[in-house]
Amino acid sequence: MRKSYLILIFFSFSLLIFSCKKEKKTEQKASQAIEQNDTSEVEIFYLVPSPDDIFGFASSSDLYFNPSLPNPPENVDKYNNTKLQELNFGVYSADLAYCAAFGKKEETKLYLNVVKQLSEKIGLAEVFNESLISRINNLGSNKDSLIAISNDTYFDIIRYLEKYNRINSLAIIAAGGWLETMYLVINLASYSENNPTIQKIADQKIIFNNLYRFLQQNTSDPNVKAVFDEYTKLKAIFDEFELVKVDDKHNMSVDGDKIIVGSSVKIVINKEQFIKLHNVINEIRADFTLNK
Amino acid sequence: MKKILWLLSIIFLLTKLSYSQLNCSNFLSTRKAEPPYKMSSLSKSAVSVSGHTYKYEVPLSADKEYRFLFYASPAFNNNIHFKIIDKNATPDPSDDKVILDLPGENPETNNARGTATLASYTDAKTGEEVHPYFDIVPQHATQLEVIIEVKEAPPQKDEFGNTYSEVVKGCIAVIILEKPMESF
Repeated sequence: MRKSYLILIFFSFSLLIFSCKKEKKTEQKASQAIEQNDTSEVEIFYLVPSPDDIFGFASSSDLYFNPSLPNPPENVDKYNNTKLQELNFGVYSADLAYCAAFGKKEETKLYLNVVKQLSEKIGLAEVFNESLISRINNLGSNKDSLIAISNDTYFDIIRYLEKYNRINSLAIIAAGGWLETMYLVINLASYSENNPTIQKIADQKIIFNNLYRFLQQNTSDPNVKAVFDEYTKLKAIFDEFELVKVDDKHNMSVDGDKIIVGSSVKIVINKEQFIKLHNVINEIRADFTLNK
Repeated sequence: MKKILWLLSIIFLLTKLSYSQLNCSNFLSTRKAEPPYKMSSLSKSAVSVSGHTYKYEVPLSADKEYRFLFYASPAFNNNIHFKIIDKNATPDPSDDKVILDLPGENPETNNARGTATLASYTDAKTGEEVHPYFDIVPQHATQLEVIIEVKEAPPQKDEFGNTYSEVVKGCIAVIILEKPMESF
């Protein structure tokens, strides 16, 4: 009995030391973030939506499921360094969202497994806990449940990266996810004026600028810097998009308690810019996914 | 055996508590959206410190309606100034519009909607406790800038009579919910 108490005391101390170490690490990271604030006074967070959120595109009538577009799962073995693994983790997450948005159960399952496989290589295996794996194994064919699991997985990964202050990884994954979403949409859409999908592509200028600045904040990391340098080509194209003043606030009927925003400027893309964007997106995507 | 189990439970709880102190992501994972809204991936929770300002650059899509809610650690005592600016996607700052300016909790306003920024209140009609929220509808895609200024804690005096302000550290969360725009 005495021996078991001794073991218990030893076990308790080990646990406490472990927890203190973990807490110290968290506090250190927090204080690092605070020190960064001290130099700039204002800390800026550039927010970038998940591929699922961007795939509001899927409701557009000119988009459809094209199985040849997503990055083939077998490519996963080609990615043998952290930069490529993190970038393609984002790419595959977007492919997963694409399959889910079109209710493709088998493909969703396939890409969930690829995402899981890559997560192990980049230290995110913990996200795929028993509950998530059980959800994957018992996945129904309902489109909403496919979207929910794709969304929840991405959410859990982002929270995990933020919790452990892996901001560089987060920036690269967000960059890969955004690029693949654009790749899928721009290869499905064809240009015509007043096409809602084309307008949504033009609107990506705002999201891209956030992503670009988020990468820029973290260029002290060589992997982020490499991605940032590639994205400079895209920045030049998005900068060409024209901002047209509009005044059609009165055309919008909303509940009185709601605040209307974005009512005076519209982003416009012309055919030439669309083609340029299409080509550069395809070029960077081929480079990142090693699909050459 | 009972004693051992009891002791282990205490240790487990202590470990959990000490580890979760600065885990701001818990602010997000514990909150669920009610249909038709879903939690937007734009939601963000971060460690914040008194005397500092934080800016959240939020891109909004034109086919969605958004609901914004703010939460902060009780340690800040609601001593926080919230402001939302519609950046309107133009590079010209003179086009920016302040759409919401909430100068922190004021006990005299008694948590009226639009003035209370953080504290929950009881809805007179339903009798349910609600958290203040702000519904935002973009006509065209735009960028909102949410500025959160965590004010310094009131000055205090140390044993030698020197004045100092305590540095308060906690979490602030900008929770963003979204749903497809009704006309879509």
